[in-house]
Amino acid sequence: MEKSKVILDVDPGIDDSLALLLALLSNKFDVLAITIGSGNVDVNQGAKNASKLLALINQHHIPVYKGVELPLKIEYTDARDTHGEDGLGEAYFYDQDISQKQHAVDFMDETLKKYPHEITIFALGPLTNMASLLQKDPTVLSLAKEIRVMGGSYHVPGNCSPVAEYNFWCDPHAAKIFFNHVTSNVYLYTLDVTYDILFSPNMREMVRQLGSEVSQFVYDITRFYVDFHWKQERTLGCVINDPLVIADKIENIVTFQRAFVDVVEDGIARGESVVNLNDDGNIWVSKSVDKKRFFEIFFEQVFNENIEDIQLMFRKGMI
Amino acid sequence: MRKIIIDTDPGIDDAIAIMAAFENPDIKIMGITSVAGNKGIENTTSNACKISTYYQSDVKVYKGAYSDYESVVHNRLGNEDLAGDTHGKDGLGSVELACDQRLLSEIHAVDFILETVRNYPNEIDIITLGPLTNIALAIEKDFESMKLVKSIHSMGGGVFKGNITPVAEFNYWFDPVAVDIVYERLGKFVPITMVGLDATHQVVVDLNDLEFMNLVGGEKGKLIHEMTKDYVKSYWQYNKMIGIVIHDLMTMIGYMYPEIYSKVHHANLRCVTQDNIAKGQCIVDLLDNWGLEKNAYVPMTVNHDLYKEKMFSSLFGEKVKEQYTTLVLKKGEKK
Repeated sequence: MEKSKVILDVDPGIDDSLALLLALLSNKFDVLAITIGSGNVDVNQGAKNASKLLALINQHHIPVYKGVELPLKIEYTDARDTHGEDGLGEAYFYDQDISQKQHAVDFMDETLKKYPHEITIFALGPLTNMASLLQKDPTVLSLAKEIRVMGGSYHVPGNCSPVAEYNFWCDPHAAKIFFNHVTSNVYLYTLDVTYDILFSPNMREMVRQLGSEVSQFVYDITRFYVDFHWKQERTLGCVINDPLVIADKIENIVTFQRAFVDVVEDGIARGESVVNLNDDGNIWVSKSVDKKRFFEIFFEQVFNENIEDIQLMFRKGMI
Repeated sequence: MRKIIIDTDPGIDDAIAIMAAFENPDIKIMGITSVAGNKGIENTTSNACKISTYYQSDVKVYKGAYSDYESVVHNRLGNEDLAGDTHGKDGLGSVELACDQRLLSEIHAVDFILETVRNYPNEIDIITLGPLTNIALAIEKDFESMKLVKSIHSMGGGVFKGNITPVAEFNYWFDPVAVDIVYERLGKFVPITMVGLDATHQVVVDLNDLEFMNLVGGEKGKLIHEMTKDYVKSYWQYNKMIGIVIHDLMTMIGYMYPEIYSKVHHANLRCVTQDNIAKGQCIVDLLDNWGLEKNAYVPMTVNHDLYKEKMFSSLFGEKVKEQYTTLVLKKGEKK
């Protein structure tokens, strides 16, 4: 079977990086490009982090494109408190940037037209690049086969305010434009399901003991994330939102329901995703997740040489 | 206040057990006696000194047997350092701690034990965390004084479990002759509790626990997290486990809070001293087949959750324990 063509629009970011690893190492996708937006870190740092990751796994042929540098209308607030000064848990401070000259938005515009109805876009950061694409050509996103977005929350609290999740809070105007105009097949993965994806200290230790360069990388970049989750939420372990979106595309582990979604632009509810569950709704919003299956997919795809050890740990109930 | 002597071969799990004793205000550590086991005697002595120094205490360290009982008695080389890299290069993982030389006594461990027991008859509890060589030598030297020991709590052996061989546990395998002397001669006069692998393996301190110590346990928690890294690695390599069994800590905490053991047998215990494939196996006659005199108390079941609570309260105090109980132990599946 031909692999689906995908574009990964990210702001790496610790959990974005784990999503990139899953997408690239699973060998299930034809990754056309990694496009970068400002979010967890700014576009330039994000591009360096994507470069670091491609160097780590020896996939230099995947092109990286930098996108829009700032939110559409408001001041930019990064998430370096969560992801570290360098966005990768302050473990490496990589300084090379292999990104292309072309702007991410131009690249996506061109590529969606070249492969109409073939491309899946994973939008795992603020929706600034997506909104800019719509502003450039309001019809272009309808050429995507599907768009899978991580962001928002509805029945659980946000992570930036009681009601707002970071990606939408960072650029609420972009998120609003996206949900008001998008017509393609959109799947929204909210905090309601990603909160369940808790990467525990036991899992982290197993990953380290697997003893590869990639496993050491995952161990190193999550140190900061674990500290943050403890300080901020008294959670033991770290929530890794973004790889869930990729895993669900590999094998369906999330259930959805139809809804209309809108986003609050300012005021105390800034960035809130207003989810109106409705069978006539125009997009799919996540409802539940098989978290055990997520971790089986994640570990087995990223560390496919260690499947026996990983399965043994599941059987023993140690992870 | 209970008076104890800790006889030990630190060793990472020994070090954590000693820390728990230092933390307990109801316990007075009369001295720490060292023995060869997890590492050679020079290393175990200086490691014991490092823990005492870390607590800025005046508890002295008394160097003991350099090898197993037979080798010491016949003044020859024997078992000295056979635990490989389980405890890291020097025996305390990769942490660097200072040893205050003033805490190293000139008095031999065996003499210190005997003198202390004579000075405080029926008051001294001995917690042994390594091979039983020093205790056996003390019995040989002055049996009558050793009868005045109040109790012994010994980490070692196993009824249905081994770790160094399929049937033998490391401490008792290291010096089976000493084990036989201690239980056979002293067991009918002094209550001796054998904390074996059957009990210790019922509680795995996993990485969720160790990470919790790292995040919440302050400097001490960070030290334990760092110190156990080599130990964690070896449990992964040899046992395919994510986490560690801190045998010696259970022995110490079981001494402080015997209620962690839900079932304790009183039975006859002998150790295989012959040099065959069962060498070092400790045979506990749970069903009284032999009909021999009972000489050992052997806990076989542990209340897992209670033990973990006692572990956290002993090392880090009530507040951290409460937090651990709510956020980790009783949390179960996260919603």
